[in-house]
Amino acid sequence: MIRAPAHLAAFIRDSRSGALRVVIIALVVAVTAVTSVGFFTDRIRLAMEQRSGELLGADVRIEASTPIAPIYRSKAAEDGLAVSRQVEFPSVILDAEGMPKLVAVKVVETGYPLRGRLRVSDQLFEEGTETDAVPEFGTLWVGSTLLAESGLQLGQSIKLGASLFRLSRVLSYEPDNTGIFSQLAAPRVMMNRSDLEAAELLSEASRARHRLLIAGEPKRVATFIDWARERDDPSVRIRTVREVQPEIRTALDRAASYLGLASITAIVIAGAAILLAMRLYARQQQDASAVMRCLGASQGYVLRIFLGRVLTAAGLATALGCAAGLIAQEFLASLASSALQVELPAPSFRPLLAGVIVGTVVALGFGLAPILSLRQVPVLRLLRSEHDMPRPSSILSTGIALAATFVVLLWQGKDPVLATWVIASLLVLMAALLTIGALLVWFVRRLPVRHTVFRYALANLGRRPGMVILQIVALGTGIMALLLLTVIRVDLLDSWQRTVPDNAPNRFVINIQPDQQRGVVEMLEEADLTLPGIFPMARGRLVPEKSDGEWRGWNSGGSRESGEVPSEFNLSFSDDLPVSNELIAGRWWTDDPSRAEWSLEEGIADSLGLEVGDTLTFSVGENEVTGQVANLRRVSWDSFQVNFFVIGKPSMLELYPATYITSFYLPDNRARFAGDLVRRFPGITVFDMGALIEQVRSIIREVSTAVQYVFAFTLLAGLVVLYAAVQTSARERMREIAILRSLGAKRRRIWGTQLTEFVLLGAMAGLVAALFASFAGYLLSRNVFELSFDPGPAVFIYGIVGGAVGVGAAGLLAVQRVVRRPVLQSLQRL
Amino acid sequence: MQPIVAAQRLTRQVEGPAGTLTILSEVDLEIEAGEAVAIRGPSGSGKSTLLGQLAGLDSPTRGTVHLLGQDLSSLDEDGKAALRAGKVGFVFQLFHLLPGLTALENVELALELAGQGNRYSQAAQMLESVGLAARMQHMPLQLSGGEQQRVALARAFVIQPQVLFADEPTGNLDADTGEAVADMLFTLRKERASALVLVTHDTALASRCDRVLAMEAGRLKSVE
Repeated sequence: MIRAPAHLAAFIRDSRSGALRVVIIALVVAVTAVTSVGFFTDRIRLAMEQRSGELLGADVRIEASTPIAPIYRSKAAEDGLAVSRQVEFPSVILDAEGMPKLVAVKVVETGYPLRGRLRVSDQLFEEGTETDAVPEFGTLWVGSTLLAESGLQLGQSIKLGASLFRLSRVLSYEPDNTGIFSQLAAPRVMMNRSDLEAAELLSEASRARHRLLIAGEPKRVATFIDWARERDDPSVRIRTVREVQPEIRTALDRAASYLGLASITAIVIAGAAILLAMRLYARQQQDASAVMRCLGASQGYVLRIFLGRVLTAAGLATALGCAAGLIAQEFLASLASSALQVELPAPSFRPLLAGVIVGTVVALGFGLAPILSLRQVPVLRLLRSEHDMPRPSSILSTGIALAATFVVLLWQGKDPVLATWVIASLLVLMAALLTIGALLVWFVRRLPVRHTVFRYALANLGRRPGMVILQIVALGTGIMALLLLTVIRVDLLDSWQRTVPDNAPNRFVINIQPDQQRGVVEMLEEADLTLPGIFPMARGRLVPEKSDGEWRGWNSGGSRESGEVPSEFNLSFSDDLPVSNELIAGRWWTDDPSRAEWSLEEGIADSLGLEVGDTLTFSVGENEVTGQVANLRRVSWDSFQVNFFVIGKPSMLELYPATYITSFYLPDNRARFAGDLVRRFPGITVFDMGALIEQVRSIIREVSTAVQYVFAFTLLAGLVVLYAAVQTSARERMREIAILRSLGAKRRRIWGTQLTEFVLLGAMAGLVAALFASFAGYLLSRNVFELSFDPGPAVFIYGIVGGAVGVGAAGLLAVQRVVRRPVLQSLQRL
Repeated sequence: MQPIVAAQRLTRQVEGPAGTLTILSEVDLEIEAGEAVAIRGPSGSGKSTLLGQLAGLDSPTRGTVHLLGQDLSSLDEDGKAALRAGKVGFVFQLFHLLPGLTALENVELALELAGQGNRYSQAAQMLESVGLAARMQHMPLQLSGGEQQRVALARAFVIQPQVLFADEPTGNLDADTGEAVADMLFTLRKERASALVLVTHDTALASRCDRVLAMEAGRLKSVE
């Protein structure tokens, strides 16, 4: 090789020419998108997990119905993690009138909660102030409901077990007690662990839930979770933040989908720009390749030279992109952290590696085919310039590009199904774009036009059908991305935000006795509070079923390991499919009233390993109720409606003792209504879901903002494609314009012809793009985001007009120098 | 002695819209080592095609070409390139310098492909001998046509080629510059005892060769 600096110098000179510069810009955009999204999502994920951790009071929680083996505690402490023990069990106190009252006792020790903070107050149903303390020795903190129902007062002493306790504070908020199904249906009493033994509250027969709260540095926590799972201890359940709340999980998953989609779109669009620019670069380098071959260079040598330049471009762009990504994520993080009101944790450096891989894979994936063709330039071209290199095989180009995209997708998402889905869609998209592009060119060539400017412009389009189709494909992809980002993104984000409407129910009422049902409904109606419905609910314990000689059901291996499946369920019954549910398998109840049937939520069915047609038994009260799984439902958890994992046919359950559950929206300024309700209907429990709703809303809000910024990269990539597409025909245009001008054509006529051609090209690409953006938006909303979406005609108007104006302007900008340049100068440059 | 270039019944046909077009027809030719041969003829007579065939830049439809004693039909593209490396020089009408490399680097490239060491000093010396010592670090676009062709001469002769193929080397230059370039070409050839295959329509330039062949409608019609 000639001295390395010479090659580097040649690379730098090459990069000053349009094509390689476009490649570098496109790569910088792709790498910036990937790294900034990587860093940012990393930090947001950590922050969100921290927030979700509040709902658990920890990063991970070990739960058991018997005291947890000390090894968990010692191992966590050994790993440098914070640990706090907790026990929860039902007990009885005497109310002001000496009547027994069931309470849910939570025994905590210093440090609780490890995530989030308790709020305490001296008044009933007040928001309270945050505290890091726990009840002092000999005192109890109690929920407002208990004081309201029992007539007891703060400062009073009560007997709990064998000890006497003073009621010292009102417990306004427990971060780890917001989930409706995680609560015991009794008012809360919180005590210090050091009082537990003396109070003699626990015996071996007690129905207690023991918990070990663990929190700390994410990596250490992850290691601890792995260690705990490997123990495969059947006596404990391991609960992590992602398993706590389906509402949060749905929001987090959608957030990840949006951000992932944004960066993948940026990569694919940047790839399209690279594909175009590399073809142009290869065309520009044909003579150089021929000269080297003529001087005796082997094909391998030529390949090494140009591959070296592409890799140098990739390296340079990756470095720039990583640096830009770091800066961009800092900007995104500062925006998000002010919205979140938390300091975002520092990111890991894994996204940098992703940047390097994406930079290299995308550069080679989208740029290799033209470079491979470059080594086959006929040397005869030096004598007769009409001898061009073989056109890069479309199948090879597409194949390598798709393989590269697949690799990147897999690396990013680790989800082969999603990656395959995206690749298949891209294939269909490209095939369809090619077909439609070819049809449009065919149609345009046959338009009977008399005006000379139009005729010449149409002739131009018809004369280079291959190039024009390629431009339509590239421009179409670019415009499609822009449409997806501008019009459809807004619609999608809107419908996401609409999933948690302003008046989403924020209070859940449970334990409504059948004789209270009417009164509760009337009181809510009188107060003008809308009631989405009131549902019966019976507690049922899942009875494992023996099938094929093996135990199946809640205690089967897979489900127990994930710790997601409870053994006790709230069973409801209904004649109709609940409003926020969608039937995804089977059918709603059969007409045969004697047939016992269940309807299961899809996730729980999956965890239990059940399908439509399987049999399922619950023990309800003293009896066992067996039925067939008639259907599976998809539940919008983030709708905050009352939802059930298991619904039975009314005929199966209506004879068993049931209580009722309902939910309603209570405006903040009427918070006291909850207390009134409890006082009027003793025994019912009102849960405040406001905090959880606000959390889901803030996740949606924050991520929506972040997504807007991340999509800016895709927008940038789309603009690079436009530029690259115009550049691909720049040389031919320069030649034509110079010849026309030398023949005496006026500038106005040249402007007119060029503008008409670009506008037509842009409009055609815009039409194709609008078609596909609508289709893609529909598919994405249904399959990825599970939202309803109805594309309007606006997308077509934006597509066609935007395409015509955008490509027209970009095109004129690209040729304006040529039109203004003296003819001789243009001819000399060719 | 074995001829340095030999063609036998060399025919080149291409498929065109009007059917098969014969560009070269049954050409027989032998060029000895150190001999300078000019191929003259009007535009489209097939002289550049013949040059391409003789140098192994293209494959014939029929017939054979031996270059430096090697049957070109037995070699693949890389084999032909390896045969040219370090032994065959080229000068083109359009100069064909690599625009991304300086004058010096263009000359160094030929040495690199020939696998020779000490490239910087050899290339610098060669450029000095064509009068471009002060222009070594210039980019091709910063040089005049005559200067570019002198760099091309330096690139062609720096490897001490056994044979040099020149396609209208003065065709893109004015008369005086063309004359100067031609002088340089013949001087360097003589110094290195390289064979020369020169395609031109310039009678005066052709007459400076040992032998002049005339090409007409794809046939070598007469030998002067």
